Amino acid sequence: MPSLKLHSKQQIIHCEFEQGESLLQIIQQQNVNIPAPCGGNGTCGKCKVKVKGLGLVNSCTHFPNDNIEVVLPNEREAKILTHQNDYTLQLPVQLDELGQQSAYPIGLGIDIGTTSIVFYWISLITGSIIRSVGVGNPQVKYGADVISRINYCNSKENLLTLQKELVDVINTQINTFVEMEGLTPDFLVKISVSANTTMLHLLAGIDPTSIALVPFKAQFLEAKKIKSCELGIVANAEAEIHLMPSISSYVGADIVSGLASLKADENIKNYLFIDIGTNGEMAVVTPEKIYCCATAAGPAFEGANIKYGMGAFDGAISAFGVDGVRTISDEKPRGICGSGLLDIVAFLLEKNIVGMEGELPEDYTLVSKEESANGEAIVLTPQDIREVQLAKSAIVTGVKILVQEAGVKMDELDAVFLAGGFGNYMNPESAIKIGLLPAEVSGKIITVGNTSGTGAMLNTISTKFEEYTHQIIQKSSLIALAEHPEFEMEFAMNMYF
Amino acid sequence: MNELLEKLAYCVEFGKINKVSPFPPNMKDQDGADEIAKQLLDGGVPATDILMKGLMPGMEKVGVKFRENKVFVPQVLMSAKSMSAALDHLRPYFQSGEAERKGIFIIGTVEGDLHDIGKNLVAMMVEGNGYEVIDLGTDVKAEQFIETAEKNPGSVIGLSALLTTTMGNMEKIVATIKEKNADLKVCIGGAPVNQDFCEKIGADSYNPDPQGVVEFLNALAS
Repeated sequence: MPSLKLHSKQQIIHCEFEQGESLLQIIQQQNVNIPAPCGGNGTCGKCKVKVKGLGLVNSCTHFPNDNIEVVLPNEREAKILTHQNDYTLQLPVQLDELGQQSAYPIGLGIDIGTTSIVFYWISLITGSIIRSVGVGNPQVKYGADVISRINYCNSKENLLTLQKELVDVINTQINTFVEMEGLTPDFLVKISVSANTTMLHLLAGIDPTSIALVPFKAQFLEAKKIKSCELGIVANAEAEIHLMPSISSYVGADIVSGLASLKADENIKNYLFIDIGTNGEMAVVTPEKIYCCATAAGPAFEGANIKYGMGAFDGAISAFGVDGVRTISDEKPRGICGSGLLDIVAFLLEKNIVGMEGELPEDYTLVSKEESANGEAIVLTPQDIREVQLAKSAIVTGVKILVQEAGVKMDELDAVFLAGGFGNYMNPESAIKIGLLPAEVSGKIITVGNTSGTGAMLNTISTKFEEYTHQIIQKSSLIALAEHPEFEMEFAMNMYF
Repeated sequence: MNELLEKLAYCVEFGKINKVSPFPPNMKDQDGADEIAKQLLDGGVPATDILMKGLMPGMEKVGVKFRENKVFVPQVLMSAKSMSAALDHLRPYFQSGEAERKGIFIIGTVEGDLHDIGKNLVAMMVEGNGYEVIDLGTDVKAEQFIETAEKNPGSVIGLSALLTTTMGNMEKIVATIKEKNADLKVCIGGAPVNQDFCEKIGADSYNPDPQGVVEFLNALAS
């Protein structure tokens, strides 16, 4: 059956459909409301949706035959990754007792990110994904990053507020799912959660304050199994929520889960695994050991601190080169997202408009005010270049020190696995041109998508996956970058292009 | 000798530490701040003159260029390292009392915070501008600041914080210092800090860049 990918209210819904149905019917079956006052006669034009590759169509008179991607009008596209890669570990279904007793066991893997949450619904009979849904993290209104969320937890009451936000959004998804599938929550027998250390504290209702203060110690790092009823999550009363284990306050279960979800082939002995966000988390994996660290890149690649920066939404410049700008959904440009920023800086370096020391004499105009979406020219400022220098140096300095600590040479890395949203969209050549990644890894970069989510799925599918995450923890040692004697000098010098 | 002092200022401005340092590339194999400071002392130039007429003008130029976004962290760090190489030769003269500095600056990253690159830049710039700097390091409690200030009459305190979580500690430390001795001057800095916050917590000065701290100290000293 062909499948539909639907962008609706910051969510992405995946489902399959029968040929011969109208797009309007298919979308309505997903519990998504589209106004159709003329009753599907193709006369009022109110049910218009945007179909990738076709533009706006009347959904009631469009009968898709093939895979289709649809964005609802006036709604920003939520760019969340669900794709698995060639290096994903494959495990057969292996259930705990409760799962074995259930006639139709359903599992849920959840990846809780600081900005977005992805839900993976899994049939525990076949081990396949029934549906995946991405939503924004509702805690965003209490602060954009981990530190500001922690700051908000200055009272028991506020901590409970943040916990409730997570529990509520999970319950909403569960209720929607069971209703759509005609099931009851009883069938949901296992939930696995992969997330950064702070999000795991907030979900468990444990005060995360110590994560943000010297010596940055977490209240717990180990895997936890909590009965669903204890957290107030709507599921089988006996179902357990598995919180996956973390390595440290800033190298969380999302990284452990991601590392455990990858199965490198025999040609890949030493590799770098890296997830670039506000914090860059990375690990150098050798046959014997894993060396990992977190580095504060700051939010430049997510659009903050950049004058015309923005998230990866419609109208964001996502690529740039001699041919000009490319935007998400081909809309008029309204700002610059991370991948676009990399391309722009790489281009300006190539053309010697920005020098090797990062000097840019004046604002560089990317889009004139006539061509932009809001009648304002989009420029890159000298200060923007400085922000990029700080961010890219934080990442590449981490990589260099980790590789050195692991006792391998940069050119002995057989692969670089690039995880997460930003990694998936950026142009690896631009990343190397600006020095976000070292030149030696050119041609070895493999994007692996949302490995944290993949790990959460694997943990749901098989009880055996716990052994994999356990192994990762056993093999890992944490490198404290800031305490490294060469860090300060390396960090400063890597700011050069 | 004036020519040599100018050369020292130039080395500090462009970050030429010593002869073997490869940086900046266009000064390869030339003498750096290290060698020139020694030559000046050997030539009988007083340590105070080397500080005031060699190091300070060079440091000031870098500070201003940094504020104007013409240079960035790596250049400032190299300048500071050059300055430091020259200061090593001058230190005995300050310790013996033969040469004097403009004042004493006590600096530290506040309790709960470990970030120190910004704090180190400020410390080096201030030192290069003729002040004795006592760096208390990171995760520093109010008592340590007060104790050090009491031992060094006339000193000024600088507090640094990078995490929004430790801004609260900065507020507490300022309050404790002011409660103990209202005459002690405290300036603050760091990524999450701004002028409003400075006024709210009753600190005496906020500066977005190291040169601002130097100017604040100069104004107090004059």
